[in-house]
Formats: sequence, structure tokens, C-alpha cells
Amino acid sequence: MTTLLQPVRRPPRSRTAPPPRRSSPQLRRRRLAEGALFWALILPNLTAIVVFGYYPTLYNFVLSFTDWDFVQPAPVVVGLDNYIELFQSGSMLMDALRNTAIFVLVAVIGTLFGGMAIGALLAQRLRFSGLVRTLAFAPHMLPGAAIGVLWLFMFDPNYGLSRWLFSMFGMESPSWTTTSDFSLWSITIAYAWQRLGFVAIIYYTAILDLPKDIYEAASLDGARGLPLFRYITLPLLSPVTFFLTVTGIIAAAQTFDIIATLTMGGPGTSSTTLPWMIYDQAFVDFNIGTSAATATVMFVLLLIVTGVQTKYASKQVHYS
Amino acid sequence: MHNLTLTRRHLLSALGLGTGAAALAACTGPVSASDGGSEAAGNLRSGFSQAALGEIPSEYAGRTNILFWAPWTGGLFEAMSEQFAMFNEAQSDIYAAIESVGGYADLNTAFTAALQARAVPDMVCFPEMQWLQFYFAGALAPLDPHFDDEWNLDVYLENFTEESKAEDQTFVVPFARSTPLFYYNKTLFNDLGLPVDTQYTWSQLRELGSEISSVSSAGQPIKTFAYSSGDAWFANSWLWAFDGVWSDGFDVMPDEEKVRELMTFANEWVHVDGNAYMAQAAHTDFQTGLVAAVHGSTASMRGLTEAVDFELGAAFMPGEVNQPPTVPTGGSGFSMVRSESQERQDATAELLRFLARPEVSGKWHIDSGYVPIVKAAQDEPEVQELHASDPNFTVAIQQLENAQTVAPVNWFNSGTASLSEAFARLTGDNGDIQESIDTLRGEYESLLEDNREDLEAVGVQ
Repeated sequence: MTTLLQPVRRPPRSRTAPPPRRSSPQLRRRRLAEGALFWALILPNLTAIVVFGYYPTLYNFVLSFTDWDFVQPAPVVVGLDNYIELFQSGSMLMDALRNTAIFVLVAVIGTLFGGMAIGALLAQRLRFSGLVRTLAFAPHMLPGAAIGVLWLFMFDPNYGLSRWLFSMFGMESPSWTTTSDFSLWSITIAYAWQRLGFVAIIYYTAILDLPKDIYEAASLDGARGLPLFRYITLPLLSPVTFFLTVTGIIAAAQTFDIIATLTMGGPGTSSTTLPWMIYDQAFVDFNIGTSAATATVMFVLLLIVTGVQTKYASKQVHYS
Repeated sequence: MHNLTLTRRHLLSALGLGTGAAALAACTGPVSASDGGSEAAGNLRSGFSQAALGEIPSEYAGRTNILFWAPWTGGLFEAMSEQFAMFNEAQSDIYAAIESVGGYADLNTAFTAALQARAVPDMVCFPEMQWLQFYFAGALAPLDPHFDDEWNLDVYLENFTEESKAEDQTFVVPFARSTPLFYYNKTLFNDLGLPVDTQYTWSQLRELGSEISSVSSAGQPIKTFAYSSGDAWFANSWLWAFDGVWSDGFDVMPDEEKVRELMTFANEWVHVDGNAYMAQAAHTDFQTGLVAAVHGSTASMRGLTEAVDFELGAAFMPGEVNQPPTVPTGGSGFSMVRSESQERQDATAELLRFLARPEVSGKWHIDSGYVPIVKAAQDEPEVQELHASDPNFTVAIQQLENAQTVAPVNWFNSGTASLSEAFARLTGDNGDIQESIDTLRGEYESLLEDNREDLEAVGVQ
């Protein structure tokens, strides 16, 4: 007789494989039917993913080893020439990589902090919070091109909102979109403004879903204010933060429309990010192969960044 | 002046190129004997059907339908649509549909995609030399079989027909052609007692800065001149005024000192004097009175005339060492697309013939500001009446004798992008002049080398 303190010992598993069970014709038919149903249900989505996702990615990879301008009937295989040319181009690629890194980091970190603060405020259920929620989320519903045009007006140093704001302090508005000093910040601000509402709403709903009993226990222990937020709320929000970081980096790194309407990658290459460089190579220079090689490099970089995030950042995620 | 007429020998020498070569404006690899160009001997191309047409109005049902992809929007597209409506009303056999695809770059992209999809429009309209890219790909049909005594290249202004031929065949007829002009606020100039209706020089305009900035608009001193981020086309005229060239054949910036003088001038005007600046939207600033002068295409004439609430002045592009300076030809011409239908090509030729009528060409000039490309259009009563009432339109025609095709290095999209970026760095960023020259030289030389064989094929030495 075992006592309650002793662990229950299970009999050791047999090392010999169990004899193969004969499946009856009925069972086989049922499995076949289930399999057929599975494929019938998954095929439409799978087809869409393959045709619109995997095939273009694969085709882009193939194109990166060719020289083509889209006009000639067929691409010409040039091996690794496009990659060699890309990495030998030096400053252009490095500028684009640096600009992309700055743009992504500032936009993602900025929207995470800003969105969390706004989400936490909204969760207080203050007056007009419903209206604020709607207003905060509205920019996310607008197309990027429209946001670009909107900010183009606001940034205008002669008759935009920027001029009015700076003139209040007796200062001249910077030339946001026409000087290298500010062009990258102009697209970053516009993009962050677009995404901020989305991040805020996600945090707002996540904060509302946090388990009340943990807060009750913490308040019994005397936790209040910032320590409560730092040691209870932040860890509990970590799955949401992780999700927003991963999707935020991917989305920011792919931003194109705001750049196209605000700065077109200029002046010079001061606001050229990888997506704009890809466009520029393809539709200004008509170097489709080089453009595809740049796109492949960008794909690999995003894959690595996401992989690193999943491997290391996910360890900081606490699921309640 | 470049000889742009392709000979068969030149063309054949271009046909065997391997990779990376670009025909003009878009780095196009030339065709080989086994691809698109092999059919170029004929005007038809099997498997290339017509791109989707919109809904055809019931009154035009049963006609031969042709499709034009227009690289215009707004007022220019409206004016062009009006010409198509006139054509559709003028006869009962053909319905010509017009669709806007955006701008020239959009058309380039859309037509490229159409060639891949083998569903093409019947007529396209590419700027300057961009049509060569598609000619090398065997995408365009020759127009000569459709010419006769009434309609041929001789009816058009000579400045703009030299860019129409390859291998002794015509692939483009000029249409929306232009040159750059200097637009200024004539009311302001008159109020300040500054010279008007004259040939300006850049240095003279720079000297006027202090007087112009003594007047304010919207609480700010008025600037003299607005640069913008895409000034490459105008930069051809700037350097001609300073007696330099961007390239002489394959020799990039043969006289670098002239380039340095021009760049120093632009840089100092903005960052030392502060009377010129890099505008976000130059013409908007001009219309709202923030800046006294801009440059723009002759095609901006109509839009600016209607938009400003002051008297608009138009003058030749400013000179410097050379007065008046040579100015670049600009704008675009019509090309016929090779497809499977002879009937549609014949119908397209009828449309082109109609658009070359003096009264139709004159109307286009009046509605848009583009030069009256058909010689006889200048004799149309409406055109003469316009010129009598608004001399600005006459300025555009008078400047035509100074118009010339740009240096080959600026036939390419990437070349013009590099040139625009160079000046954007100088005027916007106060960038280093020598660094800008060196960067531009490197990009230009690389571009010319990449396309050497194609350029040699079209007579560039």
C-alpha cells in the first residue's frame, strides 16, 4: 500500500511495438472520407496562399538570378551578378538598410510606448473615452497614400500646420520633406501616427481582459500605481507586446505608400528604405533582377529578425 | 544635335547584345533574333489581343473599337477626351476609347505589364525617347505604311520629328510636345519696377532678390525662385545657359568647371542669399504668391493662367553665358502598338490622322498649352486670336527655334533621377558641390557604359 507522499509508480512501458491493428474496411473508408473532407476544406485557402504568397516569393527568388526589364520576352540568367552588384553598390544599400532600421525601430518602439499609454488611459473609462477610441483608431482605417498627402500638407513649411506650430514659438518651420535632416523623420512621424491608434486599441482590449484576481491579490499586498503597472500589468501584457512587436516590425519594414507620397525616397537617398529601393530599381532603373535580389535580401533579413524575436523575445512572454 | 536615325547595320549590331543593356529611358536589353524583335519586320503580332475596353456607348456599337492609354490626368486628360469625342462624332466606323493610366511612368509600367499579359492597347504615348525601349522589344508598329501626301512627318514641326525614326521607319508622331518656360508674377515685377517681357539671366534674377524679398506674402518675404525635387529636365537648359553639357556622346561633363559654376550658383542662391529655395510644391507656392518665379513646361501655361490671380508672365528660359539658352524638347508622341489586328491598326492610323488636322492640333494647343505641333495649326484663326490676346502662348512658339534633344545620358529614367537628386542635395541639403559632381559623374558613366552598345546603335558616338 502506498502512502499519499509516495509517487505513484506506473508500470514500465513495453519496449516491444504493439501488434499492428488491422483497420476494418469501415474504418479505412471513414479515414478516407475524413481525409477527403480535410483537403476539400483546406484546398481553397491553400491554393490562395500558394498562388498569391509562395509562388510570387519563389518567382522573385528566381528573377534575382536573371537580367530582365519586363519588356523583353524572357529574362536572361546571370547567376549571382545581381547580388554581387548589390553588395558592391555599397553606400546605396547601406543607406537603405540604415534608414529602414531607424524607421522601423523608432516607429515600432514609439507606437508601443504611445499605444500602451493611450490604451491604459482608455481603459480608465474616462468621459468621452468612446469618442477618443474612435478618433484614435480612425488613422488606421485610412490608406497610406491619403495619410501621406495629409501629412504633406501638415509638413508644408509655407502654409502647413507645421508653420503655424513653429511660428507660435517664433521659429521657422523646418523643411520636413525637402531636406535630408528631416525627411526620414517626416515619414516616421506620419507612419507612427497611422499605426498608433491600432496599437492603442489592441492594448486597450488586452488591459480590459487582464485577470482581476491578480490585481486584487496585488492590492492586498499594497501594490499601487507605477509598481503595479511595472510588475503586474507589463508582464501580463507581454504576449500582446510580443505580437505587436513582430507584426509592427514586418509592417513598418514594408512601408511604401507613405514614402511615395511624402518624400519619394529623397532628397538623395536620405529617406530611401528597402521597399523604396526595390521600387526604384524596378520601375525607375528597370533593373528587375537587381530589384528582385534586394527583395530577397529584405525577405531574408525579416526572416532572421522574426526568428531571433521568436527565439529570444518569446522567453520574456508570460502567459497567465 | 544627335543623329537618332537607326540604320539596319546599327540595329543588327545591337541585336546580339547579351544582358543588362538598356534601350533608352528604361535600361532595356535589346532583342535578339529569336525574340520579340524577329517579328518586327511585320506590323502584326499574333497572340497580342486588345486590352479590356470599358463600356462602349450604345451610339457607337458595331464600330471597330480602338483603345488609347493616356498618360494624363486632370485638365489635360479632359482636353484629350474632348478630342476623342470629336473623332467619334466625326465618322461612323471607328470608336476610339481613351483611358487614363496616370502619368508617363505609370504608362511605362502598365504597358510593360500589358506586354507580359499579351493584352495591349492600340495606341500609347511615350515621352521623348522612351519609345525606343519598346521598339527594341518589337512592341511598336511602323507608321509609314499609313502615311500619304496629307498626313506624314512633314506636317509636324521639324524640331520634334527627328526623334521619331528607327531603321528608316517612323514609330512616333509628335503630339504633346513642349519646352520649358520661365513663368513669373508680372504684377509683382511691374509693382516693383522690375524688367518684364525680357530675356532674363540667372545672375540678373539673383540680383533682384533683395527687391523681391522686400515684399511679403502670408507674413513671409517673397522668394525669387523655387527649385523642386524633380528638376532634371530644366537642368538641361540651366547647363546650356552656363555653356556646358551634361554629356558629349560618351564623355560625361567634358567641361566640369561649367557644371561647378552652375551648381555653385544654385547652391549659393538658396543657402547664401536665401532668395531661392527648394519647394515642396513649386507651382502651388507660385500660385499662392509665396514665390515670384518658377519654371515649368509650356503645358503648364493653361493651368497656371487659370489658377493665378495676378498677371502671369512667360519668358524664355533664363540665360547666362548663352542668351537665350538652348532648351530641351519635352513632351510625348503617339506610337501604334503591334497586335494581331490589321483592322485596329488601320483605325488607329485614322485617329492619328484626325489628331493631326490643323484645327484639332490648334484646339489641343489652346486647351493645354502644348506647342501647336502641326505647322498649319499656327494659322488657325482661334490660335491666332489666342496669341493676339495672350502673348504668353506666343513665347512658347518663339522659343521653339532654341529647342534641342537632351544629351543621351538624360534619355534614361535613371539618368534624370540622378540629375534631379544631385540638385536636390545642393538646393535642399546644402550638399557639397564637388561630392555632387563626383556622385553624378559616377552614375552617369556607369549608365552610359551599361548601355554603350544600344547607344552606339542609335548613332551616339
